[in-house]
Amino acid sequence: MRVQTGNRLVVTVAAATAAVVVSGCGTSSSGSGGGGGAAAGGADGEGYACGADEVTIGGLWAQSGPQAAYGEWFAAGTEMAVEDINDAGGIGGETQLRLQVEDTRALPEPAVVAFQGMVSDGIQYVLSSFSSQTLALAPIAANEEVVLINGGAQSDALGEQGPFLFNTIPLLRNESVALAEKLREDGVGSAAIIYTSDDGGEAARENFEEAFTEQGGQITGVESAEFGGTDFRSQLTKLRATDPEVLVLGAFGQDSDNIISQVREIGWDVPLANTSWVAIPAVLANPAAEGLRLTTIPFEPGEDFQQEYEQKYGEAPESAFIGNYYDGVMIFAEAFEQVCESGAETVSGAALADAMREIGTFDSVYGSELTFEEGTASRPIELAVIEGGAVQPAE
Amino acid sequence: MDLFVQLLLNGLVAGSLYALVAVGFALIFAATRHFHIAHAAVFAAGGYFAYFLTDFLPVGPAVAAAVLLSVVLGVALVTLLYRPLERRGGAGFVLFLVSLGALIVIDNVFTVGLGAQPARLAAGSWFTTTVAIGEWSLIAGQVALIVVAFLLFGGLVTLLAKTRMGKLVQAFSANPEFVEIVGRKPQVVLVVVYALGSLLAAVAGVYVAADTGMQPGLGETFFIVSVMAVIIGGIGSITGSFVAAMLLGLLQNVLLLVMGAEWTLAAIFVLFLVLITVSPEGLAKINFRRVKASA
Repeated sequence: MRVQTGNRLVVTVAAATAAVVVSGCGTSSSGSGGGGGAAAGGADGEGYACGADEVTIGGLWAQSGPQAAYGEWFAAGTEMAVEDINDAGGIGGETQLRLQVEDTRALPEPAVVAFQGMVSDGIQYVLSSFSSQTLALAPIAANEEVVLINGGAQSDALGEQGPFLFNTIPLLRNESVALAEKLREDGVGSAAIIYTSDDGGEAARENFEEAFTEQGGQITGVESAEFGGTDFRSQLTKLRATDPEVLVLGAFGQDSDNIISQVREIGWDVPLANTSWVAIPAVLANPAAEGLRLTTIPFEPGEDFQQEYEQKYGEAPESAFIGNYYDGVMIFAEAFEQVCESGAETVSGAALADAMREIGTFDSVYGSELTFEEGTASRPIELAVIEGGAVQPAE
Repeated sequence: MDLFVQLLLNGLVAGSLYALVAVGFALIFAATRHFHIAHAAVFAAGGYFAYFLTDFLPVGPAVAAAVLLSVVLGVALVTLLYRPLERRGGAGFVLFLVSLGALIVIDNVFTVGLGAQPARLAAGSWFTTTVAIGEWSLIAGQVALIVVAFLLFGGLVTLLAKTRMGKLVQAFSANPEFVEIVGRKPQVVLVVVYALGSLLAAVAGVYVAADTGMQPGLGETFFIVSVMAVIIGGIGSITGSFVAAMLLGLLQNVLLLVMGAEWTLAAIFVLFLVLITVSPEGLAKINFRRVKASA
């Protein structure tokens, strides 16, 4: 069947389409606590004004797309901290806090555009997440001297991004090493790895491969998969042919959920393992995830926090991500107050970063103290297993 | 060999998905010369509508209603957007930009309406039941997709070749004024073309929603590969688009034997660039004898 037509238009437009789509035209943004203004409350070119009625901090995470489940936790922790500060009278009893959030879909391109908008609005403190996104923002943050707080991304490269990036979450290496040690301890001799081709997935593969082989384990196969992809069955089929004792997933969010489902759909009953980022509601509710071994960062906040969270969101605060972002906002308040108490009239990103290093150790909603070691928080790591739709401590 | 055959089967699944989107787009472009990028939104609409409607209807009727609503969306785009613009002299790139705008708006409307999570259609346990094919296997949903893709393609080819309306569509593609000469309204042909093209894309969207969940931006990903198939197959050729889409799906999977997944799409793009350099009108127009002689 053939019908006549010219083809110059279609080739030209196809190229334009690809360019537009790749550049990320589908982003959206939203504000929390008011619309996005032309300038951050209480800010000018040199930073926030001490004694201002209101100051604005930024939040950049996925509110839509395959990683949005994490965004809900990040938003909950951040919003609750902002509310707690404002209900207590504001920072120093006089400055209300406002949060401006933009949807990045966990992609670097929209994150950079949104971050530059926030910088031009005078925002000096931005909470970010997702490795690829945060790694793209870190050099801009350093150049603009804006503090970037990461409570959700774990690529090891995030530990080497200069003085303006602070991680309230431990990086992936520690979790991968703990997972590899546990698997070897349980007598697992061989493993295959499937990982997504983003910075987080790459770091997961690299760390686990190194740690597992150092422990005397054998890697039977490694396959990459598209970040945000849909069909992983061919890579899984290829890995099944290598006959590993366990399949390790270097993937998070919807990707990990799809991979877990598809492992079972191709009739492969191999045991699964991943790090703490796998424990999202969709995975816990997935029967195919039963028995998956994982690392966890234990998050056991105080009774007051638990009650307040349950009242506000109708569920228990089970993810450590909530605590990481709650801490991120509280750290801002403490650093802001310290800068103003030192007699400064304005609070710049550089002054905030200096104050954070000077304070060093902060109270954490985890119920313990948070200390930054070269810009990264140290938290305990434990081993667990998914059983009955919940994360249970490993034996 | 075992692995190779399984990858071929997986490739057939991917090819069927690409083919549904590509053939729909090929039909619309060949007949109207509209670069209807909002076809990606119609694809997404199939999945999103099915997901929403399962709150009110059993899954079968919900899927049927979703496909119908997507067809209405496709027809609405041409009758309410493209045609009025064409009447005011809009053509080519202007229509493309309008179509792109429609895609972004529709994508965002679904995202806002849906909330944060990907839209996963609960198709029932039959969908993930393993179907053994000798030593190899697919899930029932994948088998259904392949069967439906071939049936719809066969039905479309038959409709275009054997029915009066099909012949009118072909005549319209060659010369839109011819339709008026024989006393038919061109708008009717346009509606039929968009309805058929949208139906194919919507079916693909429903499958993706049931398999892994529909997400914002997913339509564009499938659309780009499908446009590639349309160009490789020879723009204007429905059969060429179908065959090229199948080949792309097969190649994307079989290449995993020799390279990592992150390289397969890049390798296909390189092959595509080589192909359009050698033969800008696609595979069907390659003069293999001349290529061989010059080599």
